[in-house]
Amino acid sequence: MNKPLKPLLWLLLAVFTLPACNTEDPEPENDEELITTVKLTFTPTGSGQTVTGTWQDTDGVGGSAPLVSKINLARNTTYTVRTELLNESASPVQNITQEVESEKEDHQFFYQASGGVFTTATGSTQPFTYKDTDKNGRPVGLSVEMKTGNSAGNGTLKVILRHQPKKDAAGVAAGDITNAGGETDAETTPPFEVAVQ
Amino acid sequence: MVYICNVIAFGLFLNLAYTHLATLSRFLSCFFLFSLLCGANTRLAAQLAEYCHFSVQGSIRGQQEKDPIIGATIYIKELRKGVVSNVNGEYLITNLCTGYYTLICQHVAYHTDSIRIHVHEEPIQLNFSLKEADIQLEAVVVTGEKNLPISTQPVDVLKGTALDQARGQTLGNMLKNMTGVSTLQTGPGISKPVIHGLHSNRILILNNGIRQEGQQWGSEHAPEIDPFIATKLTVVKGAAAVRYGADAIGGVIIAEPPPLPIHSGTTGEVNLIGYTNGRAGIASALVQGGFKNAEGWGWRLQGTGRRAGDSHAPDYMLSNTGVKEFNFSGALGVNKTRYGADIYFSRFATDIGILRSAHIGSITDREEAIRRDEPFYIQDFTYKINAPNQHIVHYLLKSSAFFNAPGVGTFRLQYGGQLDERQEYDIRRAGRSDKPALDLQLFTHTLDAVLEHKPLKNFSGSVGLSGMFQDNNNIPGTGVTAFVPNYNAWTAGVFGIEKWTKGRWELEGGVRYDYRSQQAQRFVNKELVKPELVFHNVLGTVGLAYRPDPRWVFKSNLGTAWRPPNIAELYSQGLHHGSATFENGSDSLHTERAIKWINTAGFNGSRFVFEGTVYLNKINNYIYLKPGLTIEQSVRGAFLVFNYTQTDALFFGTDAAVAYKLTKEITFRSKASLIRAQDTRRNNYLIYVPADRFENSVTYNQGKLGKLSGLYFTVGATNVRRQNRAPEGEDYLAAPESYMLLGLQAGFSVPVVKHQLSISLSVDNALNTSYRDYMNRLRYYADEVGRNITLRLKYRFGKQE
Repeated sequence: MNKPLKPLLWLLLAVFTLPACNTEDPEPENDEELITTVKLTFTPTGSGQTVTGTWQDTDGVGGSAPLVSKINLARNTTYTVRTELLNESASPVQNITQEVESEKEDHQFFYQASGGVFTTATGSTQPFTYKDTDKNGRPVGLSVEMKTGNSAGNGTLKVILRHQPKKDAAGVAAGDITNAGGETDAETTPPFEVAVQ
Repeated sequence: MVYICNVIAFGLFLNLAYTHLATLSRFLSCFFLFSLLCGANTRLAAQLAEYCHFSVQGSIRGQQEKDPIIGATIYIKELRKGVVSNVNGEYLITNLCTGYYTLICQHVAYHTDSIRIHVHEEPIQLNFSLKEADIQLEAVVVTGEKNLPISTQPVDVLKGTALDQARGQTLGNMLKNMTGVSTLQTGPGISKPVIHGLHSNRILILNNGIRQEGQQWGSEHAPEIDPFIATKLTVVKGAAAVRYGADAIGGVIIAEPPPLPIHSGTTGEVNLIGYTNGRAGIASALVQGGFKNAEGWGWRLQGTGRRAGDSHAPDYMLSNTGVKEFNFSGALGVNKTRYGADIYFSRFATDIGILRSAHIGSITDREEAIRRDEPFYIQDFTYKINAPNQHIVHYLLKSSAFFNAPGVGTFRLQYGGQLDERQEYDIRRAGRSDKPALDLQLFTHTLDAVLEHKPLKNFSGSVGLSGMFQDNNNIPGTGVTAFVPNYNAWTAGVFGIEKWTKGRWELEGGVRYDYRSQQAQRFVNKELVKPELVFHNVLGTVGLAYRPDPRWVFKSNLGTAWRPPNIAELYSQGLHHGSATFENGSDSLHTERAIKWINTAGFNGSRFVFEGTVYLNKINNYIYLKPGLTIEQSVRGAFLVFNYTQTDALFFGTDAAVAYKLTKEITFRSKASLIRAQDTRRNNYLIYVPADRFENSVTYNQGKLGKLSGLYFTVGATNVRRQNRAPEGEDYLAAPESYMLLGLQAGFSVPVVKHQLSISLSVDNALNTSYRDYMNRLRYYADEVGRNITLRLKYRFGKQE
């Protein structure tokens, strides 16, 4: 055996036998950012009944289809709507709303309605008005105001949460998502069904 | 006495009308030869009678690198016969009659040398020392097969000035200079080489002799190699799996540093590069030397730093496309005639930003991003790299040794240890953007033992064993379900390659057997399962080369290869963050099997050089990501589902390159690469196949101008056609339009403090054309980079004794 080869062979032997000892089982990773549930609370200004709606997809992307509850609202009523986000797959249940609250300037909610269940305010194209702002004075949408119409009817409501949208782009501050960009953090597809009685 | 004899020989040499004193090498060789003849002078008369059992033998080496030149032709002009040098760069011509002959030694990567000899007495030892070819022609076509175990497959080599001109680019983009090689890009910072339409796990990269093992399965995972380490980049375009193991279905890329110095004295090289698009700066330095009183020992230290900010397209900034890189390597070795050994260590570390606008959350986001003419996020230039980004560190420890056993051959033993760390950062909530969303650690150990047996008559070849162990781990704490599982894999292979060379003909064949066993540790509904898979297969190659005269070469090679499904193809399950796709692996995938037939014709004249290649690659059980018909709904929005599926694929195509030297100063060059790829089971096109590509250029060379030397000026145009052969309805966006880019290059060398300083300037996309490339994954969101002006300075220093 030639001299330079000897230490090399020992090295090789060591290297090939060492990694075989590593057999520890891995632990599954918890998806910290998973949002399973979008919860809407409609509180009427003045007297009336508080209504909640939940949109739930506990197994995240893939798996079974989301469970969506129906929202029954009274006509001709102004509601303050609060949106909550939860991760119900974690125990204890994780409140994602707090994460959004701590990063208000990086988040904005958008609400899209169909069926004419909500009225649009004068000068607005959107069925809602923002009731909160971030530190730059721009809307967030954890709290919004929606007003039901005069007649009974059925429609839908979709909630979209964008992460790092361009809050200064045209129309975005008024609730128009077209120029918002950013990533979708939450989107209630299929949308909530809304019935106005 | 010897001195006088040499002087006479020199005089004689000058009088010989049939030779030209062109290079120092020829002068020295002839000097040597005539000295030899002088010594034999007294016995000359007795040998004059016709006698036909003489033989001439010798070795052929490169003048600069001193490495043996394999596959050079040694052609006897008068007899119109020749031989080819073997793996050790040696040749032997037998059965010569007494007389005068002209021996022409030729290799496309070198200047041709011819020596007149007088055959009358044994032994005749005639060594050639060939000067490395003129950069200008070499950059176009090279059919050289130096140091390659399979010589009937076409190869392209990038080295010397051609390599210098490509310095500063990513490894993938540097390789684009060769015909048949393109890139799969993810923005300006990430490019993966594509050989004849195949990439990732279907090609193999040898970094300093070691199989590069990173997380190749990802289309946005570029090779973790500092291009400044290599002074030579070689692309083998055939199925070279017989020597390098399974996976090399499409070809092999070899990145080689020069051999370590063997004499004392210290030399070095400094490269400084700056380019405008990205306001980037690169500095790379190398120092190497030998030891006094320790002939054969050598060392080298090398390091590269790179900093680039956001690139820009002609109309806007490509925000978050910066790169920050720092790499270093060191080597120590001994190289003697009988034995040698070396140890090498390198660390590669890079941070790469990924275009901010390409990060999307759902199908709706993507549709919106695609709909826009300009990306969403256009910010002011910055060097800062934010999420999404990649942080990669790759370590390589290599140790190799060889031993020449007289009468048996050369034994080579090589160990490679690699650690690849990949962290990918995503845009996340609540400060999690600082926490990797993907955190992988891959250990790879490879061991190769090869015996290159001593040439036996017309046979030369090698047999070998190789083993590999891999351990892949997800580092806990990402807060994201692992995209690929942890696994361990063991591979063992055995091969034999034999070559028969006679005169103008060369025949070769090889067989290989590989065994692979792997065990994954994956979670199915949060339950740990440990599926075990075993793959084993035989593959082979046969090839033929014919050199009717020193200028022509014809080659044909048929090789089979196989590839076990990779870890992502088998087990990935989940959201591919930032791309709004949900990918499903399949553990019932079978082995991919390929057969590639590749044919080449090359002509290397004094003014005209040509190389043409035609190939056919049939891949059964071709694995690809098929867009599913379903859409996954979740609270994050909708995602398109992709499933890993198998089909049968057929790739065929042609590469051609020509160079024509109009005058001593002016050279025209043209290159073309065409690929057609079919899914033969579904009778449809395959997605992500490079479009037709044509390159034309004209170079003006001025040898010397005052103190300046090696002056050149090149104008070139690259045409890439629209990919009209893409499968319908399987892409988010139709293939982009054809484009044409204009490029300019100029350079020269000037002496500065005893050594040469090389300066070159190049302008890429000179007309600042807005375009998108089919093979860039970010083409949905943004244009390619605009005009880029690069200034390169290269200074070599030191003295070798």
